[in-house]
Amino acid sequence: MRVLFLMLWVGASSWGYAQGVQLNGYVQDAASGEMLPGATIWCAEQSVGVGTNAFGFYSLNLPEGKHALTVSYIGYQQEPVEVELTADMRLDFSLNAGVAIAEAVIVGEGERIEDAVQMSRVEIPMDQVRKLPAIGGEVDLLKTLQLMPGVQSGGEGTSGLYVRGGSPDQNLIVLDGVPLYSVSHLFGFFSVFNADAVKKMTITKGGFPARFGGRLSSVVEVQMKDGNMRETHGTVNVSLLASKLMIEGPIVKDKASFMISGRRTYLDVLTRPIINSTNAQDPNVQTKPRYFVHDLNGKVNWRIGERDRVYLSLFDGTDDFGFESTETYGESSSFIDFGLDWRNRVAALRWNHEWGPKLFSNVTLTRSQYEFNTGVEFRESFGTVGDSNTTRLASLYQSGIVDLGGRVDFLYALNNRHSIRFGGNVTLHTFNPGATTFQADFEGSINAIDTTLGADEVGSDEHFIFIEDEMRLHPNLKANVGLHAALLRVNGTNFSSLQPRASLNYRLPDGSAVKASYARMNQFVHLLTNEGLALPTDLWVPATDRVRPQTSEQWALGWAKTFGGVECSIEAYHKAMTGLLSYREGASFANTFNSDWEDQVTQGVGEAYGLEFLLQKKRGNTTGWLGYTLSWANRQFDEINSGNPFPYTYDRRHDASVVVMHTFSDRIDLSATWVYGTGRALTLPESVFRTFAPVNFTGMNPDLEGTTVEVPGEKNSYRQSPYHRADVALTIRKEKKRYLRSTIISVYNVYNNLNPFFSLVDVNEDGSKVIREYGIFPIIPSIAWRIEF
Amino acid sequence: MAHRILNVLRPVVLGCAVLASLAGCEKLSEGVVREIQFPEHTPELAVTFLARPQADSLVARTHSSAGILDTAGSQKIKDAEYTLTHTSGTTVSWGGQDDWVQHRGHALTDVDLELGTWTLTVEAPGYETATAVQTFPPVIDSLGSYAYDAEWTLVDSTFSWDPYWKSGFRSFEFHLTLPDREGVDDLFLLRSAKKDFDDEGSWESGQVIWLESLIEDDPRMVWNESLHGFIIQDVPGTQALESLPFEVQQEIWGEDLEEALESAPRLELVALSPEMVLFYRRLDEIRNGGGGPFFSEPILAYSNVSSGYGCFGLYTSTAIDLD
Repeated sequence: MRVLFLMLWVGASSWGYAQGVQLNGYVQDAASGEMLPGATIWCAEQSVGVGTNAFGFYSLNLPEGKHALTVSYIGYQQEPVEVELTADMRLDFSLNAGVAIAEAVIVGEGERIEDAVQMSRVEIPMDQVRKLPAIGGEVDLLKTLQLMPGVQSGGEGTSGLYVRGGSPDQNLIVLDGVPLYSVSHLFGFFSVFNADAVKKMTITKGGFPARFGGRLSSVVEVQMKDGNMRETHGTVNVSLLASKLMIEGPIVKDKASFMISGRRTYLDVLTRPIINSTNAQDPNVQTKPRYFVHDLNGKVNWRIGERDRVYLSLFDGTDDFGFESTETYGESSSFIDFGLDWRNRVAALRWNHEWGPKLFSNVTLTRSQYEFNTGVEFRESFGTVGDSNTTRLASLYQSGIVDLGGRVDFLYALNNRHSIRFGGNVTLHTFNPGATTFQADFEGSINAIDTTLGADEVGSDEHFIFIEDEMRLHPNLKANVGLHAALLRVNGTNFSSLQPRASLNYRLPDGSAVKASYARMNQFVHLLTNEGLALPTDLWVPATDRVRPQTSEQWALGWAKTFGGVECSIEAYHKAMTGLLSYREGASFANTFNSDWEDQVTQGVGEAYGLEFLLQKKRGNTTGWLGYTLSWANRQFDEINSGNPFPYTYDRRHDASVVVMHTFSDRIDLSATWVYGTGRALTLPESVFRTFAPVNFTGMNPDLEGTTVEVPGEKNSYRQSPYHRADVALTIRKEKKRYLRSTIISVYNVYNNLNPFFSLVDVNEDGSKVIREYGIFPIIPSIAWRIEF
Repeated sequence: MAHRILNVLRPVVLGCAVLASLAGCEKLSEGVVREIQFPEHTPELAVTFLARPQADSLVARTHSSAGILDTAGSQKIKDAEYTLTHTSGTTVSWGGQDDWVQHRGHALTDVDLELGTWTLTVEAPGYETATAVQTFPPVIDSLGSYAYDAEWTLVDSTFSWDPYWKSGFRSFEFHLTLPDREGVDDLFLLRSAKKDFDDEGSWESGQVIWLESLIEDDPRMVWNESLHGFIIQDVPGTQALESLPFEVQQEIWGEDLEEALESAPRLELVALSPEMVLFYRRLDEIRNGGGGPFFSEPILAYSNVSSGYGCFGLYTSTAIDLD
């Protein structure tokens, strides 16, 4: 509360400052009319500047008179502009995409790292993302984020994010303002985001402004392309894993546009000849496996007038895995059908309105749905001539979550010292934490079974309001101070929290900046997951009267400076977490099939701290970054590991990445990455013993039944081998009359290091036991084609 | 020129890619053996001794624990010596090679352990002595201060007198009321007894008895795989242990079906010590961890044996014949 009072006091005290005139408008791509979020407008003589918001809107207060402005955006040509201001003025800027190789073109770099109040925030330009090596040629946004310090992968090939010692459920991943609950395809091996449909992606790891809430560890904002306002364009991508098509263009030139993008994998199509050949060898046994993934992104953008814009965003992503097998012998047959599918569906309707040169609002209505289904059906029929006997057994497990949300955000550019954001949000959650339906039909005397077991649907409503002020307290001191107040109502229980946030930026005389931040965060939803593997079976569950919400307090201190186009930042952080959820020892998602999930869980606390170092070059022919993290992450649960603290599974002492992209000419790019991470913490059995149970508890028989019990060591006291891998990609472009063709040749895991995916105690043929590590991805060369028209 | 070089290099690069992939795939299937330095394991005694009063014969088993990479595994210790000491001073000793019965363990015969608290001491050469303390639960019976009440009715019976396959099926509804002491955890096991047929295990004759709770997800009882029965416990906030409903199904087959049907299905009702329940519950969690080793959180075994592993458990029991 004190922070709020301080903010209000500072805000109120600023009313006395001299009022100038207001310059406002949008910054957009000159060719497509696409809005550019995060572009900067800088007035050197006044030493003031402003960045565009997520919709490309800016509002800058300047004294009356002539001013030289510089408009810049990462990857675009810097635009010097002269304006003469006599009254409030509306001015839109259009920037041309910069071609780094071209001569005499100054390519902008956006806001310099030492200028930004916000710390612990990283943006990777999409054109860099598309150049990076990718497994199977399928570029993945979240895997690119894993190359940043403080962001770790869950394991070989997986797209889960572990940010500053947090778990994957602690990341708020929003697509055009809508939270997504599952962002994985192919059991986590790549994410749902189609790079061709994405305009911008940022991750915030700490120092969260008050407008963000609901998760402890990070906010990943993904913005879909709005669609080209002037011309119809598209891209076609063909890789070994999937094909993609994206088309964008005007509906009404400079008024309305669309973007539609689809992707489908074809593992099922590629493996069909092999399956058919196997089936042909034994006509009695027919197997039909299937696995495909498809995504559909769509967006419509309509400029209703000078002051109003409407955006409709849609996303649908599905994984469908399963197999059918039929065995026929004479009149008898058996049939089994196993299926597992999960699906995300998201819709967002947003309305921007400029209330005046200083006030901008955005209203968002959202619907987000995630569902997971798995089922198996077994039919068996024994037949003799004129008679048959059929048995049918089936079970279906379903879980999911549906959110309906409404949000309003205001941006009020009070003056050059204060930019205030405020707003609120309501989300109605409906959780289905898992229900199993069993069906059994027997021909004969036993009755059929049709029953549903598991937890009931849980409804809850989550509300928050926020206010934050990005302020310039002194020529060398900037701050963002805010307050986020949240409330959850579930089953008659209310949880509320006040979350103060603060970030400071102090410029030192040498031009570098010292930054500090504090954020208290609260999370009302939990992901019930096992540490071993992230699966679509993971359950989203709400805080309840038995399971309290998660909270965190994060402090961070950093230093940043740009050395001739190379940004350097060092950050230290400490994060304390409470209310962390884990399955009890021995429990897993399988236990939730027929019992209440709340009985299977336990709660504890966690602590993470570390040091992150990032050296990033964003412009020139050679770009890339070098990241290193030294970190610790521990957990403590009263009911796990005898109550003793233990390292988090993804506690990674050292994590390093090197990313280099070089443009040789306008025809050829080469990129390479190398990553290294300390091995994952794991629990191994250390010893065994035999124990017994009585055959009978009454009577004469004293026999015992024996079993061997493994005794695990302390939880997560062992480490897998360190993870390291290098990837390279070569992009060769060829300009044709009507399109640009790119051939992307990439090699994943160039030196074929078998990075461990899981470890087992294994028995050799000679009876000796060993610890054996199994990997899943060897060296994988791949080729992909991209056509832009 | 560049095109020529590319044309020459293309098959070479493709060949290298295929070879590299094949080499990588071989590594995948075999995995990579990794030396992990485990702390040196000091073998300890793993003791199992489960006893009831008025038993003709009781068996104790002691094994040595073994390091996980030890190929010999957990070995039985025939030299183990056992001493039971009652708080009243009564002492019972057995064990060593002489009391070892092949395939069973160290047999203790013709003993009638008195109720109360016993201390078990297990000694074996080269091992630290293991000890454990247990108290008998009250004697469960149909009469007395710790009495149960059971009622049952036959609800279904079908028989097939086909000369090639004689079989019968009977279903009972069974209601059980258990004693519930104030302020004390009363713990029970209800299970079907294994019948001793002359040719048990053969396909020609035999029987199977199933026991099912008629209350779905009853928090008072949990099926225990290790003990093949329901562990029943009074849970605060739930109904007392009164008239717990079960269905008992018996399937019986064999040449002498008529004779076999004269033998009623038998249930065993056991009053367990809390430590015994903890041990077998945890054992079940270890053996049947939901989702298997990849998915479930690892579990430490429970033991009430100091300086060792295993369980010293005392129980009282009674048989209930549904005739």
